[in-house]
Amino acid sequence: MAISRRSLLTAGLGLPLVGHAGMAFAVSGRGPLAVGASAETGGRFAVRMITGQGADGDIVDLPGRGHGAAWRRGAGVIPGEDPGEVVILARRPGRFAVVIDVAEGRVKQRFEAPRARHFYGHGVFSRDGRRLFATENDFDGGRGVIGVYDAENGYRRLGELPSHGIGPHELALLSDGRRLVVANGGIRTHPDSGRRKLNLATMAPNLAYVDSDSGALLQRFSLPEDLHLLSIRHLAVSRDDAVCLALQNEGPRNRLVPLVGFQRDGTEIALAETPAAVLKSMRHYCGSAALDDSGRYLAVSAPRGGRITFWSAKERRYLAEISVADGCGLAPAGGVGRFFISSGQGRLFIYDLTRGRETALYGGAPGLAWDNHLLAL
Amino acid sequence: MTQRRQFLGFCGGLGLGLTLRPLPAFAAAPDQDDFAELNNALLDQCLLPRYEALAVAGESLEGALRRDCADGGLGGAEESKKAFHAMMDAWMAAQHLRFGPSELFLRADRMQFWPDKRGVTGRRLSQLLANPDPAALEPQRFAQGSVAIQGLPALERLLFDMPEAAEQPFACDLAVRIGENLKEISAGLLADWRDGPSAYAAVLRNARQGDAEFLDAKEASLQLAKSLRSALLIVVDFKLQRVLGEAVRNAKPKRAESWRSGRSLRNIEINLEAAQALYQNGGQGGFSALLRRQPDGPTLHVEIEAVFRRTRKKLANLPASMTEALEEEGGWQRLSAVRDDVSQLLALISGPFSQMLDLPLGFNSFDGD
Repeated sequence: MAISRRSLLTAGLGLPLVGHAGMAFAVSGRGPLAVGASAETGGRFAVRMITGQGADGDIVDLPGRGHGAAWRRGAGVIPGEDPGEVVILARRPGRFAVVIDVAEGRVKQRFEAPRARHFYGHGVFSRDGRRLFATENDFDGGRGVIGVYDAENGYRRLGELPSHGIGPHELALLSDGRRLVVANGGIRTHPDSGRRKLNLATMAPNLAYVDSDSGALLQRFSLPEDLHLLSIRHLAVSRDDAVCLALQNEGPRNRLVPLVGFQRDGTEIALAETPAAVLKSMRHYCGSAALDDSGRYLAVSAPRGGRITFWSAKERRYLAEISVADGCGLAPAGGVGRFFISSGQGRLFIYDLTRGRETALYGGAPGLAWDNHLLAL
Repeated sequence: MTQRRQFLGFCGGLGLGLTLRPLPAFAAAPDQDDFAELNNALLDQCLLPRYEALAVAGESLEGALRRDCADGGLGGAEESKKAFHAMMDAWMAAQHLRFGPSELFLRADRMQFWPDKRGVTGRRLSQLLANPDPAALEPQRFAQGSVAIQGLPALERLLFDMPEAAEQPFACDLAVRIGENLKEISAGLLADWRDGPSAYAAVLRNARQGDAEFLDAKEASLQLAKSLRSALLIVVDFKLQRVLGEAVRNAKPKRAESWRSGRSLRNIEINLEAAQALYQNGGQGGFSALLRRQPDGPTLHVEIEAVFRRTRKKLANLPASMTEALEEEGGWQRLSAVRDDVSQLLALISGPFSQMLDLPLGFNSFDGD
């Protein structure tokens, strides 16, 4: 079993963790185990390193509101030993990207999307860490692209691949290290009109599998025609390439539609049957998705409903929910059914789904708001 | 609702609350009846009157431009300038109502394309005036063309900042076309809000049954709370922060809204007046009345009221023009104090106000991605 840095978090909290090989770790977890963008008191934006002791790690200022992040792994597996670097991407329609040395908690470099593009706020590295793929908007062309940046040469832009849809948002690299899976949300925006949605009448989201070398479209999946207003926005992918989708509905409010979907291999997207009361409480809107380390449990946040929902990824069905006001950020926290959860009200905790237990990492300071996403290291 | 409040009061009175589990936060939160009442009250007392005033101002503006241009040149255009100010006054009370009919046909952008971070309005206007093409002013083509030149910012330039164009007949035709366009947009807004069986006001009033726009009455109230927050957010982020920067030397007065017509601070004054009305009006059904019925609501209400009052008093003592205010001794500091006040209001509305009324306006829920 590959040991992830975060699997040591359990040990850091004084709880024994037994890996698949039966090894128990007893390392005190120091060094960041996750990162998340934030808004700080006084309207500053930052990214915070999260340690086993909570959000007491380094804080790095950002020039604007950040969104998602991509991790370029270093060589180390033990906290403190070359954890690598993280790239925080601007929230749309921002153009900045900030590269942070995780161990030192300092900015290594900054770069920008080209003038005629802006980031959507999500990116992922190639398996060898040499290339960063970031979803971008070719706003004058009205199409989504994936910017490719050379991490070994100062994040020079190497070029771009088509995303094969409008409004690409989150993306992931599959286990073969070659295919990218991209959530094309389908919504057209233009920086001159702020964040306004310009094409709801014709919106057509899709999930596209793209060759990361050639940009060729390998497979593309859409939702049934009558669900064309269901934006495919966020995704989580298991180690064996099962894709879980978190959706946002732009359609009629009194028509409840599924907000979580599953897709793998060549099969169509299967939307999860969900109790009407749960859908109503989710308020047509999912903010982020994460699988736990076992790949068994999926967490999907619904910040407008103030809920975090949990799903069986294998059985593709709804399991449970907890209330977290303005809760949105999710990441696996090491172990079965364990998730980092953050909120716009500054809360940060680990939730153990199987025990139904919360472990607070950070109670929240006045003025601190965690942004939509957490990235586990 | 009343019964539940009495029940809670009864428990508290006996001191039983201490031995019970803490009440969940939503126990005392407003219910669908409260929200339905709120929606009706604000429709009648805030939204519809504002759109009525906007439609009247749009009609006057178009008439004034037509009269001033009767002799082929804008000249002094005193009547048009006055009508422009009246239109801006009316728009400033509706600018933050960014839902429903204002989302259709890009109406909000066409009314006022701002902030114009890439200077599109100036560029497009110069291009058009350098190559006067009457076909570009054909009504439908104009309304479906660039949003940058068909609204208030373009008209402001023509009236207040382009003396060289003033005597050009084509500039006059363009100004009249913009006036007609604004009249059409404001009349369309009012009609879509007010008239007919599918009027948006009716959609809002019937929200509790659930419809294509709103899951329930609470969701419609959330839209109103978002409008209140938007009003404050736009003032802080776009109208003050982008202009003031972090220090006097970073101030950029030409980023201010309506700096050419010298009314940037007047805009903010009206925005805050409108925001306060949204918070305060509606009698027993309004936001402030609803808030005061929540536990700890009265204290928060006092705080919100005090900041509104303090901010508006500060603004009343400043000139209408932000450029002038910045030129005054200590002007930047005074404006910076206004920014701090409105930021505080924004924090109160986004935080405790939203939590007490269970209308999520959080960092992630307000404007997600």
